[in-house]
Amino acid sequence: MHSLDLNKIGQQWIDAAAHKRQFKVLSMLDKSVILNPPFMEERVSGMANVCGIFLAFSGLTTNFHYGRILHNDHPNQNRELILEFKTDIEGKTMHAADFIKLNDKGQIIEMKVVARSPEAVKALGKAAHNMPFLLKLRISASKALINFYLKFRS
Amino acid sequence: MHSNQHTQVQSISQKWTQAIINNEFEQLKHLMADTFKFYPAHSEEETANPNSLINYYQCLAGHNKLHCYERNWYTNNSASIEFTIQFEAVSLLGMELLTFDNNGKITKCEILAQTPKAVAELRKLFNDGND
Repeated sequence: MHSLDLNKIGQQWIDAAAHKRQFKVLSMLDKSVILNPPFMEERVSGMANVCGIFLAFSGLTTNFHYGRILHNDHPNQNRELILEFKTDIEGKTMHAADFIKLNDKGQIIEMKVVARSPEAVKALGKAAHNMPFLLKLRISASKALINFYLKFRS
Repeated sequence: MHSNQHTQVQSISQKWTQAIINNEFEQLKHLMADTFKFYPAHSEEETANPNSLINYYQCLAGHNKLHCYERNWYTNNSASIEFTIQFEAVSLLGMELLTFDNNGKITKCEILAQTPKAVAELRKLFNDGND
């Protein structure tokens, strides 16, 4: 198993997310990626659905920024990294971290998000449930485009 | 760096988890900086009182709900330690995010978790303990 440069991959993801480079984000996701958002009990799977959650997240929160990149040099953990982030939702600050698992190509196959405080997580869940119509529309359009992109890519 | 710093962070993180696994919670105070702050996952609380953190682990131990530690990740001045807590119907996935000062003392312990139902179970555990 070849070694991945986890710091570099983490930084690439942060840059792509910060500059909203959607194609770069897509290229860093495995087609069957799974996401466990902190405000949902269920996991979300597939590139289009996962990107839908990212878009909702980005549309509903403000001041989103990544912090530390954590990894472990142990060979058994060369496919995992942690990205810390903070964001605001309805005046509450959410502090969170992504547990990321990568495939051999360095693409993300799984992302589990842990967070605090409970009030901020609850506010995000409520906001996602009552999402503005225009954001819903934007997400549906993006999901359709991603599905088209996947068809084209395959 | 900082490889010495990295090694120090790993070694102190191991002492931290060992103290918790062995129920030697008072030992944790020796690893904390004077400016230590604790941010639990189940409440809005942010406290500078080390006893608050000790009470947290004592409460979990009292309910036989000690963390099952899994994997660790590091930077030069921080460690993240993955844990799970099994409740009857749900499993909590969590992370203790420890931040260190230049002297190798822990300045912050932030606990992040999912899912919402599991965090609610955790909160219930502490509310029941305070009844």
